[in-house]
Amino acid sequence: MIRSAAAFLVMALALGWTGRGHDDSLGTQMVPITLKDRGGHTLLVSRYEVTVASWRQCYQDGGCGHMPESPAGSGNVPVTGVNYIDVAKYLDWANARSSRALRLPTIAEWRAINPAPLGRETPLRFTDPRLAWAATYGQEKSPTGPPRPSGSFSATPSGIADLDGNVWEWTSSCFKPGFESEAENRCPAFVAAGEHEAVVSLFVRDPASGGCALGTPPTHLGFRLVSDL
Amino acid sequence: MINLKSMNNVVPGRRNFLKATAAATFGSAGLAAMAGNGTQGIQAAAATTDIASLPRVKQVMVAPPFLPKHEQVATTGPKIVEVTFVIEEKKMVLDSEGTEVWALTFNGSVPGPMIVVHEGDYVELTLKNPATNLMEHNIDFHASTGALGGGALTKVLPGEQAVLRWKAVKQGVFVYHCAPGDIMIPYHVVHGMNGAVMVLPRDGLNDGKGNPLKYDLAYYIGEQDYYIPRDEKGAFKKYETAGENLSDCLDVMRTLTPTHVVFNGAVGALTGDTALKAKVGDNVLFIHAQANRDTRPHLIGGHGDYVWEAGSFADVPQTGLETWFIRGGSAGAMLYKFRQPGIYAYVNHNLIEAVMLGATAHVVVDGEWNDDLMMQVVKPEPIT
Repeated sequence: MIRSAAAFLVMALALGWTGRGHDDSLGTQMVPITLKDRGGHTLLVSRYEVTVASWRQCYQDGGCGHMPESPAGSGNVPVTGVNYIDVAKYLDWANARSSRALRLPTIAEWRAINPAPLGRETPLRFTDPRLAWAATYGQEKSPTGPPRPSGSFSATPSGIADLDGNVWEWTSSCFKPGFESEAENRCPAFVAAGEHEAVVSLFVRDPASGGCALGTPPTHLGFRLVSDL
Repeated sequence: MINLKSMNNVVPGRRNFLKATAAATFGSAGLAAMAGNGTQGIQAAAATTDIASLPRVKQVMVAPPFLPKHEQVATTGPKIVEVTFVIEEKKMVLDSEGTEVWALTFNGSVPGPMIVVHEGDYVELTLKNPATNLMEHNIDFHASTGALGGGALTKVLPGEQAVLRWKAVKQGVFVYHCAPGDIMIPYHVVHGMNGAVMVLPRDGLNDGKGNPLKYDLAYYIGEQDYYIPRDEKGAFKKYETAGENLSDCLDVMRTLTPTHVVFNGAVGALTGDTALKAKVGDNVLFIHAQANRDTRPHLIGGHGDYVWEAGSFADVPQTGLETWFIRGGSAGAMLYKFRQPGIYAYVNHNLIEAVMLGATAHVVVDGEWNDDLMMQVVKPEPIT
């Protein structure tokens, strides 16, 4: 069911997008989620991460300057290899065409969307506050392999798919709380969310494939759209 | 000699491998004859040097990064240490993106298992090449003396086995590797077919000033450079059988630019759940082997208390090093006492290789934090 819906979306994007007037095909795949801690505010959340097909449209329209490599026939696969700056350009392009204001979720919203956070309940590796820098070591797990078609991983009861996949999603939250509200354009690194949260420099398109001084990097970087109802 | 150009064009297959390696043997006829007589020759030598009267012990091989059970100080006289390597050509995944390599392995791991003996001991290796494999293999022990490190006496085709005995006359840590001849030498080595031997002084390690050095733990880091061919779109290619990548791989090898540089066979093999472990106060011996390429280990957050950089335990170890150099084709050893808990990264401090190509391991160290050694005096805050 989810797969056929995704296929429909891809067709709609690939065939129906003319760039004229409003295009609400992005919005048709959005699920309303009520955020309890924001007084019942309703957030519309895309079922899937933004796909290669959609990104390709942005690239062909000249909205996106960077076209990451992707296997042939992979339109229905989340776009990956895009950094925060690339994503901002995509958002400008998409918002010029959509009747709905599209944006990235904040990390707080992302956590609210994901009802079963994996890993966060694991006991800390070190409890001494002087070892806080190393406390979450070993909790960073990332499903391996190339990006898989949208809907390949599990879905939340609300129908939000692939939160536990191997594509980490950019959020709009600066790694340092409060930083973004003062000077958003000065934030050097944002939180990307997946099976764990990772701080990723805004320039990074491909997370380190080798190793970090601490922990394990995310496998791929992509993103998901949300909108306020 | 094999013409490298023409090798590039061969369609790899079992037949070609056998032909290529046979033709590539140095003076192949003579060495083949020696190999044929090897068993008898060893028996004859045993009779004249009374090796037959030495005690024999079997050393059970364990997969890296661990070392087989051993004494640091020998409690007996010289002995014959029997080990068995079973060669396995196997497909391995070497990074989180699913990149594959048909690894050529001693005992199924990259690197092969470590052998530990004392100076004056004899290593007696049974090398088995099961019929399920496609290629000819052998082994060259840098710690041994003669016959190309034993390589000339251990060439085994699929379905064959050979037994080689060599005397450990040099103390230190040493590389071993497959060296079946000509281009197959680097080809086998960069497909994982290498490992290390540790020959301890009979009275254990010392600081070169008469003071013994003991270790509480020992880890064996085998660093592997891989040269994985890419397709026209830049994606790493996959192959159905071992050796099928030969001509593609030779082209990548010729660039001298590895696609992956990893510890223990795969990116992340010594991180996360499989990170190395220690406690504050532990003296940990790190043995680092690289059969093909220079490297420069560094322990982020620690040091090398005692470093036998070139691997010889007969040398006085260097002390208090930040980074040390392991020449390609050698192993080195470093002893460090952990003084602070937390996570340490043990890297090849070419940081491009560490972070982008995979040469990173982690050590998780438990214990009490020492404010005297380090303290965060002021947390990051706006500049005043």
